[in-house]
Amino acid sequence: MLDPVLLSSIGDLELVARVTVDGTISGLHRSPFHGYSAEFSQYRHYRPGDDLKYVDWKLFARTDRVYTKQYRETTNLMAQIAVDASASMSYAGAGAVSKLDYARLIAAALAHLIASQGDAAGLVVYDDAIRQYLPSRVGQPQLRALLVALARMQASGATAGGLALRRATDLLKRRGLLLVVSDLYDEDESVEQELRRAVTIGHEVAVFHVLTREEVEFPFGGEFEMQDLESGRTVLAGQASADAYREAFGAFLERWRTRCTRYGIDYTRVITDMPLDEALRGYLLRRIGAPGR
Amino acid sequence: MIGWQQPAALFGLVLAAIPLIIHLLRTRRADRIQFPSIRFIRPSTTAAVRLRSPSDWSLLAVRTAIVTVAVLALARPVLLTPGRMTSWNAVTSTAILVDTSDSMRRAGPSGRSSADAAEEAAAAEQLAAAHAVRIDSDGLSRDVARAVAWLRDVPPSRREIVIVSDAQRGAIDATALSAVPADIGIRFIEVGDDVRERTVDSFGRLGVAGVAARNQQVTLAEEATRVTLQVSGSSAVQGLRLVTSPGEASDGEKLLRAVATAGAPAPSSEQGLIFEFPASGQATLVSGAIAEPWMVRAALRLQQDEDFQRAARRGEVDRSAVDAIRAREDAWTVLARDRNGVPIVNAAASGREMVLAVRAPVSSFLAAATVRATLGARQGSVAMPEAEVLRIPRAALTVQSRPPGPVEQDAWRRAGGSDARWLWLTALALLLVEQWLRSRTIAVRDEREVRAAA
Repeated sequence: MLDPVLLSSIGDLELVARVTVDGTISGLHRSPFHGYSAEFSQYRHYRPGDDLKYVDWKLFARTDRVYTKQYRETTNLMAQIAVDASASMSYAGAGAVSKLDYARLIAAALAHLIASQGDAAGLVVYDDAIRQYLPSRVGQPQLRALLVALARMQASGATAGGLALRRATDLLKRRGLLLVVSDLYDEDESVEQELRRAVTIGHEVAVFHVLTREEVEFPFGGEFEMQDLESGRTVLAGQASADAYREAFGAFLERWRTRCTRYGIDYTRVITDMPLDEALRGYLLRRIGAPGR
Repeated sequence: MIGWQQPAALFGLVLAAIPLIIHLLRTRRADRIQFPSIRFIRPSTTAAVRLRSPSDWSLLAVRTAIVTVAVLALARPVLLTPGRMTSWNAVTSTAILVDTSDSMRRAGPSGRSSADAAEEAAAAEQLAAAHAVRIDSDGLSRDVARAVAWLRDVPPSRREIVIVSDAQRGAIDATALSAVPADIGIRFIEVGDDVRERTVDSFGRLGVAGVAARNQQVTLAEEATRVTLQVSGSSAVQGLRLVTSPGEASDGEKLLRAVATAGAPAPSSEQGLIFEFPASGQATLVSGAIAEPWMVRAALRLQQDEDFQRAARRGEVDRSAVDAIRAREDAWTVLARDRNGVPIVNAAASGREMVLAVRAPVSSFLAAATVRATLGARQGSVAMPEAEVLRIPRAALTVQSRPPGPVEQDAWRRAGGSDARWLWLTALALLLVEQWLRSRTIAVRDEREVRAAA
């Protein structure tokens, strides 16, 4: 079980990503990310995690050795990870890990996983504008650059992800994978529109909805003056406000889940006190089960 | 009864409301929590700031008491207990008014002056009083007010004015004494011998050849006054000498005759005057600067004599003449300057005689003016009231006398210290209690939180 508090306290994000990936994919019998084949290229020794459908069973029968077939276009998956770094993501609640820290860990693990499969990964960090942009590329230097960008990420500004997601989608030259890590507190409907557009174009889209326990359960009793982290506005909350909040927030979560289901977007809700492998495993299992593209 | 030396500080009692206001305000604002998004929070209809009752009444009471006690201490209270009033009434503050008029210096039949007796009496009074001041006065009626002013500021005590005097008639009048506040006592100490008769020279006039000398004496014998006028023929002038050149001897005689005719006061053989003119060519042996009291008095009177100074300013120093002053410049005192600001009349001492160097001709107006003014300055004016032999009747003094009254109720205003120190001590003790109450409150709260967490 990968404790997010422990992981976020480790300074080396590459190590954290590797530990997370190793802890998450152990037991998975297929690689969650892989490009589809076009032309046979060569054989190579089977490695744990390789998709069994590429094992040359006839060769195994003849030689008693396990080889997988490789094709010329085995690394043609392009992924773009979009991370929301707005001020609301700095919220940590009662825990030690903020939503941004948790998003950083998820993004680093996903990037490491994609790069280790030989696929291309890119990054978009945004709040009310694009703050960082790394186009999708393969290789270790790309992974390191991506991890450095994630490590430098700071929470600020309002949430306006529509434009950033449109750009991330447009930069995926062919059908690729768009991974969105956000608390989805955008004021308008642009994020929803851009996600739907990405699906329509033909990309695979997955949303990691990052929240804290406090946002979901609203455990505040009595009277409090609540200040919005992004706008700075305040509102006085009483006991009646708590009940109304839970109801409204439940509807908000349900609305996003319904939308994503409707558009064929993979929707994963993660709470920052959840072990990180648990947060990732559900998504990866669903992906393995999904039909290959 | 309590007296407040700084009553304005009592307005600070309104500050006692501060702890109450702080108690009320500190806990009534809702805690602020930062939250990712408030869009799902329905605003509460209750007010953000609400009056709440204080959480700890005992703490509030102690804090209010601290402020109250501190303010009372700043007002410098003086507690008027019977014991304190008794102790104040047990001591006396005395203003000793000692008569130093001329009559006090006269020796009586016993050979002892009234001033000597007054010294002894004043010293004894100073020793007897808790607080005392000695005021030497040559005008008792005038200086009674000074004594009252001093007594106005003395620490709380019975107050009196003691007048040490020969009680010569006219020394003090009843009007001055009637202005003394009723609670201030008045006591007279009569000093000096009783004198039945006294004869004084009221005036003497210079006599020279051709002008008779005149002398008037006044004899005071109880209620009677006898005046005697003696006219003597021309005789040698005693106590007055002109130093001139032989050729100017006749001018010198003319000068003296003119001065005598004008009614100049007579000289004294005991207080000799030498007038030296530069043309004489002689220099009187000067022993030093003027030092005898009568010389100094005469010099001062001359410097203040407007007629004499005006005459000097009209003259001009005769620079061609032999100047005796140059011999010992440090011994000469300038009495008058000429129109150019050059010293024209100077004075010095020659033994027991006073030398006046006049840097003008014997026949000049300035020479005559100098001789006449100097004779007048030497004699001064005879203060006849000081020669009075009658005293203020004892019955009159008894009527004016009264014992000091008891210490008045508002005497605490003059108290040097106050009872504020006890209030400061109380405030300090209350501060310790407040610390203890606060630490106890925090301990209870922590324990409650630990229990809640468990």
